[in-house]
Amino acid sequence: MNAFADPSFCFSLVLSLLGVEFVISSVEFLSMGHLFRPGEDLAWKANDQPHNPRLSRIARVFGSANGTRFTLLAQLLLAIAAPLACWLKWSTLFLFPLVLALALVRLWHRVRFAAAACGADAMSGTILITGSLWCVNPDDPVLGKICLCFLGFQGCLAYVGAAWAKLRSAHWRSGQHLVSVYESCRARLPRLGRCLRRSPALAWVITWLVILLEVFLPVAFLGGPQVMLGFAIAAIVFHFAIAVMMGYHGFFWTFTGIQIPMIYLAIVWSRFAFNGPTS
Amino acid sequence: MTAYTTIVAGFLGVWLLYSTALVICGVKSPVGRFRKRFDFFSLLSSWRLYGGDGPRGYYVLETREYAEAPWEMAVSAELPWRPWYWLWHPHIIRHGVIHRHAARIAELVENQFAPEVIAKIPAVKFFDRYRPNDSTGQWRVVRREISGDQQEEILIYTSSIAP
Repeated sequence: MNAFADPSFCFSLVLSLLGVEFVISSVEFLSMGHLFRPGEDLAWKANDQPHNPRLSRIARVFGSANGTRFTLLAQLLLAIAAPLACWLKWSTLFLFPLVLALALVRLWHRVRFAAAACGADAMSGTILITGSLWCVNPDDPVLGKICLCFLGFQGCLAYVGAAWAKLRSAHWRSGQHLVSVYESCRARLPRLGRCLRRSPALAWVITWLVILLEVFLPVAFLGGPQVMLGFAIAAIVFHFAIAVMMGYHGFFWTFTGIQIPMIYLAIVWSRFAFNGPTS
Repeated sequence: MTAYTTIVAGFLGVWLLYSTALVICGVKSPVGRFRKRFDFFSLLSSWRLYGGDGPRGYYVLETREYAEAPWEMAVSAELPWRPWYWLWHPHIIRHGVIHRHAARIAELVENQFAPEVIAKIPAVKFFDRYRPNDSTGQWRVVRREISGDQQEEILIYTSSIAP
C-alpha cells in the first residue's frame, strides 16, 4: 500500500495500463488491412470534410489511409516508450514530450479516427493531459499530489454520473435494461440475455450489485486506503467482466488505471483526517 | 509551491469544477433548465444539432425500440468534435447532448422521411468493432437540405433483431 503513496509510482502504473490499451488498439487496427482500402469505412471517415476547417490542412496529411497508419504506429511506439520512460525516471526533457505526444495522438484519433476511440477515450485523455502536466516537474511532490487527487476526483465523478443515470431509469432499476443490453446485438452474449429474461430475479440482483458498486465507489476513499482498495478490486473485476462480455476493452484498462489515483486520494484523505491540513 | 504548480492547480481546479457542474446539470432534471440556459459552450459554437447554421453532424440511430423510453437508450451518436467534449467522460457528454435532442431526431426520422424514401437510400458500410458479426442490421445515410446550399446527413441503423 505504501507504494501507492508515491506519485511517481502511481503515474508510472497508470501510464503502463493505458499503454497496454493503446498497444492493443494500435495492433488491432494496423492488422486490419481492409480498413485502409479506398472506399472503406476508414476512408469514409478520413476523407470526409473536417468539422473544424482549421483542421483541414492537417486532415489532408494525417487523415489519409497512410497518415492513419502512421498515427497508429506512432501511438504503438509512444505507448511503449512513455511508460518505460516513466518507470526508468528519464529526464523531463524526454518524458514530457513522450507523454504529450501520446496525448496528442490520442486526441487526433478522437477527432478523425473514431473507430480507434473506444469509449473511455475522454477519461484516458484526461489522464494523459494530467500526466503531461505532471511530467514537466515530476520531482515536485505537491504537483504530483494535485494531479493525482484531480484524477481521483474525476474517477469519483465518473461513477457518480454512471450511478445516478442508472438510478433515474426505472428500466434500469427493474433489471430489465440489463436483459435488453444482453439480448441486443451490442453484447456478445445474447444467450446470457435470454437466460436473464428467464430469471428476472437474477437480472435484478446483478443490476443492483452494479448500481451499489457505482454508488459506493465514489465515497469509498472516505473510508481509508484499505476500504478503497477493496472497492477498487471489485471495480476492476466489474470492468473486466464488461470487457469480456461486451467487448469494451478500453474501459477496462482506463478504469483499472483510474483506480490508482482513487487509492492515492484515499491515502491523502486518511492522512488529512488523521493529521489535519499539514499532512 | 512553484508558479507552475500554482497554475496547474488552478487549471485542474477549474476543470474539476466544470466536470462536477456537468455531472450535476446532466443528471438532475430541475438543474437541466439551468444547463440549457447557460450552456455557454454551445452558444459559442457555430454548430447546432438542427439549427441549420453549422457544419453537418452525423447521427447514429438504432431504431430498435426498447420497452420504455424507446429513444432514450437506443440513440448513440458520432458527434462533431468540440474541445470540451474531451474534458469529460464521453458517456455523460454524448448521451447528455443526444438525449436533449433525441425526441427531435426521432421526429425527424418518423415524420420528415417517408419509408419509401428511406428505402431508396443506398446502404453504407459501417465499422463497429463490437458488432462484427451482426449482419442483420442496415446502415443508411439520409441527406437533408437544411437551407440553401447546406445539407446534413443522418446515419440510421435499423436492426431486425427484436428485443
